Amino acid sequence: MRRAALAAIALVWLAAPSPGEEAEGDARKRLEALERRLAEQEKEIEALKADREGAPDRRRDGASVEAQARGGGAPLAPEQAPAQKPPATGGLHGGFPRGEEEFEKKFGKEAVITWDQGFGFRYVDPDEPDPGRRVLFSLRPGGMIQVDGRSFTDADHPGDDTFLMRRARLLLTGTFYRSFDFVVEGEFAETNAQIRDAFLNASFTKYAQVRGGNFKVPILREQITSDKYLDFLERPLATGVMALDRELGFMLHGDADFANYQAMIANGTGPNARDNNDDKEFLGRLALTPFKPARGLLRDVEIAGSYSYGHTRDFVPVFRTYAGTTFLTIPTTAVNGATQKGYRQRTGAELTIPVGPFKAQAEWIQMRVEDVNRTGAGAGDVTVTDWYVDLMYMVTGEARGVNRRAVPETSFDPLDGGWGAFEVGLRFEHLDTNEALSASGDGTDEVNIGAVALNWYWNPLMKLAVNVYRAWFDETVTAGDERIENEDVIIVRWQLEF
Amino acid sequence: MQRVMRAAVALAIALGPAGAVAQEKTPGEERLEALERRLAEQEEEIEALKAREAGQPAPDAKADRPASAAERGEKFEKTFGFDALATWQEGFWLRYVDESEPDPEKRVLHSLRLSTRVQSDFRLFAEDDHPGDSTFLIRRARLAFTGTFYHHIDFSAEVDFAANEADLKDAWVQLSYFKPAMLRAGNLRVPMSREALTSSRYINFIERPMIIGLLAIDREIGAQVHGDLGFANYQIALTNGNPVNSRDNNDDKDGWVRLALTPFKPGKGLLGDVEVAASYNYGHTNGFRQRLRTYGETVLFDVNPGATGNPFSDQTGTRQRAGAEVTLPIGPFKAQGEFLYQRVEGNQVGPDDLALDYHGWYVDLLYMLTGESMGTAKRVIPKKNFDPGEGGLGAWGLGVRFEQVQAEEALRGAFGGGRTDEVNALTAGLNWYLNPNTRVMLNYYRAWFDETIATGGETLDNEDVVLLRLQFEF
Repeated sequence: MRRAALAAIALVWLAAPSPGEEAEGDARKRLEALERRLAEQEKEIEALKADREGAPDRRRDGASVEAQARGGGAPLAPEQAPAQKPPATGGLHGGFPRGEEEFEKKFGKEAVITWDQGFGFRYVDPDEPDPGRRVLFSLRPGGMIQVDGRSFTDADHPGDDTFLMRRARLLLTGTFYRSFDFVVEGEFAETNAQIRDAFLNASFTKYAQVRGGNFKVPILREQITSDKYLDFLERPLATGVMALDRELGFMLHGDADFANYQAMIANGTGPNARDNNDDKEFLGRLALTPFKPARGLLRDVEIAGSYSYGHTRDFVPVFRTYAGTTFLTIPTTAVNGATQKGYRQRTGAELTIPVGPFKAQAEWIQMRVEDVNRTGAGAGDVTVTDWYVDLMYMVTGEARGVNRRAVPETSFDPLDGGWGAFEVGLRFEHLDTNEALSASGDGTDEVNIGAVALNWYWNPLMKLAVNVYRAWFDETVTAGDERIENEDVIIVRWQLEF
Repeated sequence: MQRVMRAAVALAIALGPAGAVAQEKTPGEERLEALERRLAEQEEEIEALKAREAGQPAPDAKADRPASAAERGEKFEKTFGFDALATWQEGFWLRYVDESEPDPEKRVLHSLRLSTRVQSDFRLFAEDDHPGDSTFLIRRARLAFTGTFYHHIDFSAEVDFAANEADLKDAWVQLSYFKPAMLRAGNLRVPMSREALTSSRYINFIERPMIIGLLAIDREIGAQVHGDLGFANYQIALTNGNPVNSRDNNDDKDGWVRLALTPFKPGKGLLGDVEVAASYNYGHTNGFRQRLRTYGETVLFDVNPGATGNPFSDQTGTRQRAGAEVTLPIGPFKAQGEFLYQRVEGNQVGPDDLALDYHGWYVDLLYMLTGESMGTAKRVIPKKNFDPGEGGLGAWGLGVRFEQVQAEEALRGAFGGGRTDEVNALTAGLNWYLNPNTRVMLNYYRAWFDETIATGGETLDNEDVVLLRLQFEF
């Protein structure tokens, strides 16, 4: 190759005209010949590199198992491995002392540290020929901080404007023996530390995986979506009123590309809570993703339905706005030691349509709770219905997707001129329940909410978001010492996650 | 090669028309030189790639990997630190290697490990009229940092989140300069009972024997000197005497001593893990709670001095605990038995001042159906991990436990009925080790109460509980 290059140069050079004959046009031709030769060499190098690397390095796909696991209830995919065994770091400071068996025996085998929107450890099986199965063990520490500023724009609203730590989490997630994934996550934003995700997932086949521990219930797209990737700063009212959260239990789930499913058995008493009756709750969800196999613009379109049924004890819905204002209270009296004892069922329908920078998401859910012992009214059923529509648009053109990071085309950097990515959004939500519940005049059985969002993604890990929302109460609500007909709130959030 | 090529091109330039007519470079010359440089760089790159294809070392290995901190220069090291490395040794470790140390076994100067443990249980009361609710629960959910600084300073810091609060577990620093006499201080396991000293990751059954909970043998804040002599090991400790990360409520401290003989350990043979041990503890306590619970957390009695509704108004006095242990792991078989005794003085009930004696014992018999060695307080390594695709079934083991706890008969009178001073229990266990990090456990537990107990509006003579655990630790 080198000789060929020299010959090409020499040939061009020897063929050059004498000074007297030099003409600008000839020089241009010679140089162009050299440039062509260089271009050919570049192609050759590219070909050699491609041969060497084989399959593309899929670590850069941003679809690591940890990232998916932290996304909540979505099925986990098999670990995607680097195409080549990473090179040794040599024998200098911290380098792995190759060939020293005593060292390996005492301190372990060489692992690598990688960056994939977060730092991770990986141990690669050097004998595994399939690049997709090469990572035998991995471990990743992660975290999230959400600092909020919340302001009630009505001067006479009794709520206090405040800064708050909405979430402060640390977690470990990883994979061992290729097919076992885990997540352990602690929340420190509240007074006491609480466990969030704490589960093990066995994924020998993506069509039927088993998960056990404390994790998100498979009801509603918005609930399954990680807090990090929500369209708005708070989830729709239904998630709080209907107690859609994590539960202790086991789940069978799978992904057949064009569809995915989840079937779970749980306590039905909330996150990391022991059961207060012997009956368990059953939850199921089926989602169709008809365009996913084609991997095109519509790949993330999803239509889903979900259902849960179980018996509960002392479950009385709590009705609160995004800012935590209670807009309806159900006074109860214990009968035979229970304020409620009966079945609870929840039925949901979802439609999510992300198309490039646009995203539309709508959900409907209804909950029926049997035999709530209302003070002065006796036992009766409570039915709550909620629906919402979100419309989002990435002004800077990036694709939004579902339950994943928004990745700006250029990260915000005032020194280099990058501005990050900007997104605007609209939400309308409606919730109603039994009219009789507001008959006492202390609360409303119906509320409508309009919200506007501006999301500024500085880079894949950080965003600054502003939400302005208004809640219209069908009947006046007592808040503190005030009677209010609506609520206007501005929420600002600075979020960092890795 | 590169020099030869550059010389050839330089000669050509010198002899060429540009060199003859002008010293200053024309735009054409600059363009030509740029091309020349690029051509040389590409040739080097092609050579390196071809050499690698042929399995030969690249002419310049530096081009193949990121530069180390040392190669990037002192300024980089000063700002961002030295290169460390990652290793896999039943978990991921960060290691900093001391390059000046010639002995490979001493080359790591600093180490750090992040680890976790989750035990996700299902507990089923087999009798319909039992007032306890069958439930899923998180028994343990822990995050831990462990490591070593400067070769000899070990530490462990561990937090449990299972109870929806952060509970400190291990939190100690240890000086390990001299193996026969190491010093550990912090919140540490007290040196009593093989079962209590064994990590919950490796215990034989889902729950420890009831006597251990009654005697409150757990972690305490204090300091301990301990050492391993090969054929024996010992621990001598001084602690507050209040369980798990609690300050003392009196000026006296608890003293502990444990001596374990491991006569076959130096031979490293089949009997290497055989252990015979004895331990003793003495201290003063104020308000010491003496509670006996079953594996289903049913309370059989609860001496809770000063608590509302409790007949015991106070406790101030000495507490003594003593234990004897035998552990016999022989290949896939394992037998383990212990006897534990406790005497607590100064229990005030009405006008009486009672000294309460308790004792309990248990015997565990275990067998690995798939032939793996069990050892003591260590992982079971399956011969073949569970993998349906490759036909591996993991390791399977069976076990049975019989245990008994007896308390002072005077307790029954103090509580006025509805409590028992004696319980016997039988537990049968099935252990499935999917791989060294994952275990599924199924236990069936039956307890016989010597006296009928009253709980949750029901009376019980016995209790049947099925416990299922999914455990992973990493």
